[in-house]
Amino acid sequence: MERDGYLLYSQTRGYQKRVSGLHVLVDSFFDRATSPYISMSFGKDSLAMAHLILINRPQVPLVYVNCGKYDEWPDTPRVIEQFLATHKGCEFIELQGPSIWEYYEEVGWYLQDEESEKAERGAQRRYSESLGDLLGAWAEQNGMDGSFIGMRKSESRIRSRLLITRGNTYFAKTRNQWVCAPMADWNGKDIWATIYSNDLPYNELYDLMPQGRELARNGAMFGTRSARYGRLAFLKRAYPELFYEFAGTYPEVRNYV
Amino acid sequence: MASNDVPMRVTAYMRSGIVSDEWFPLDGILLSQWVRDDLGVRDVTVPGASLLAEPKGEPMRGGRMPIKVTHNKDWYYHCSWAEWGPYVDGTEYWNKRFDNPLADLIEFDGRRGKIDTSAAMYKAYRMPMYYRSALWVRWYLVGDIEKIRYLLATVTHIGKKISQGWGRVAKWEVDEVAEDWSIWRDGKLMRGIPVYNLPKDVRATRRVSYGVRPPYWDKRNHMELVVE
Repeated sequence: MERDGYLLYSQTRGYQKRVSGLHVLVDSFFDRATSPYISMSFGKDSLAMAHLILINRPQVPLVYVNCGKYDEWPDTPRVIEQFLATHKGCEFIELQGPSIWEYYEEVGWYLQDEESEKAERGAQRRYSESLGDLLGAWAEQNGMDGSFIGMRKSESRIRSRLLITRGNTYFAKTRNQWVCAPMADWNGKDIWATIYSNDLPYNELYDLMPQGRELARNGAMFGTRSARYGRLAFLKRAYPELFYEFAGTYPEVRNYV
Repeated sequence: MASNDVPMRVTAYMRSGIVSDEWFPLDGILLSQWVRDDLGVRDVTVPGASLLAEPKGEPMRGGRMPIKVTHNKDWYYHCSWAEWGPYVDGTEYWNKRFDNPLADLIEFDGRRGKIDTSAAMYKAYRMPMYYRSALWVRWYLVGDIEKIRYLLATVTHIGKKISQGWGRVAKWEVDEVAEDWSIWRDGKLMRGIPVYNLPKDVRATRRVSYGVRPPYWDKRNHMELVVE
């Protein structure tokens, strides 16, 4: 489906109900958390979610973890700039996080989720937890007691299981804060209907990825999860300069293009 | 320049799409042919031994190709990267998946075995292949035209995934031309050159960490090049 299709879909009752349901959920979340923030990656999901929340509640701060050149896609700075121009005056906080490159430097290159060595598994675990740890520490320091996340059930089986077990609003004991996933039941069509009908800026990689805009993800650029499903082949195709920089240091990546 | 070096234009007329990057240097293909011509077909050679010096003081095998060389801190051949004829880009996939109904054909030497489709031998793949279907691909180089013709005469496929039929060449044309367009053509770069080789009055717009000479996969040949 392309732009016109999503625009038509955005006028359906089904979609309108999704949006009104999201606003009800967000409003009710404020009964539990008094000062929540929006966790942003500037991927399609968090972008749509942040826009819908900020329409009614522009005082909610946006928190983005910038993991540097090797994790963030080249088009992300443009998306950030244009999104913030759309929501002038919103509070935007940018934190610096570790890049996956740092973990490759530490233990050597590895395939995420297919690590064969103990050191690689340890590095991957620490990398996976680094984002949450950083956001948790920041939230605690700044008296934040809740967060909005763009996680959806249809993204993966693990996420689906998590959201079915916990529901779209839950208390995360380890972080000692409330979490709300207002788009837990949304699908890719709903996300793109929101982006197009509100004329939101989005990352160019969604136009380029072979799996289509509804399934495309903006994970770590030099990440290797799903390498055998073409993740690195896409990197080589869309951003050859960056791919060859990666392959120059870790020639093993050439086995996956 | 050797006495029989002449500027030439090499054109490959294509029968199927090519799986490669946009730069697709010809000297990589020629090096493969050159080494194989010297050492013999892959089946009768030892992996990794192709460019090693022979014992008892015999000369190094493989060596430099019959193409003019630019001598610099980092030498490279006078051989352009690809100039594409009319083309369209497309995506296809190759897949590999363990076939459950045939599981009983696997021998576990009488013991119990486990099939892991996420790693090792039975790992599943669905890999996109980005290809370019072009009517022709053209390169410019300076070298011994007869030897280049000889080397290309047995090249039937170019690029990646040739075992699947990609990159099939319908015919080669090697013509002598008046001008050397192997590195520059009307002020435009025809191949990547080391950053320090760029004239001061030319502004580079695109840089990449890439091989300066073949084999292009070899990390020792990688450096920052200006490509546009």
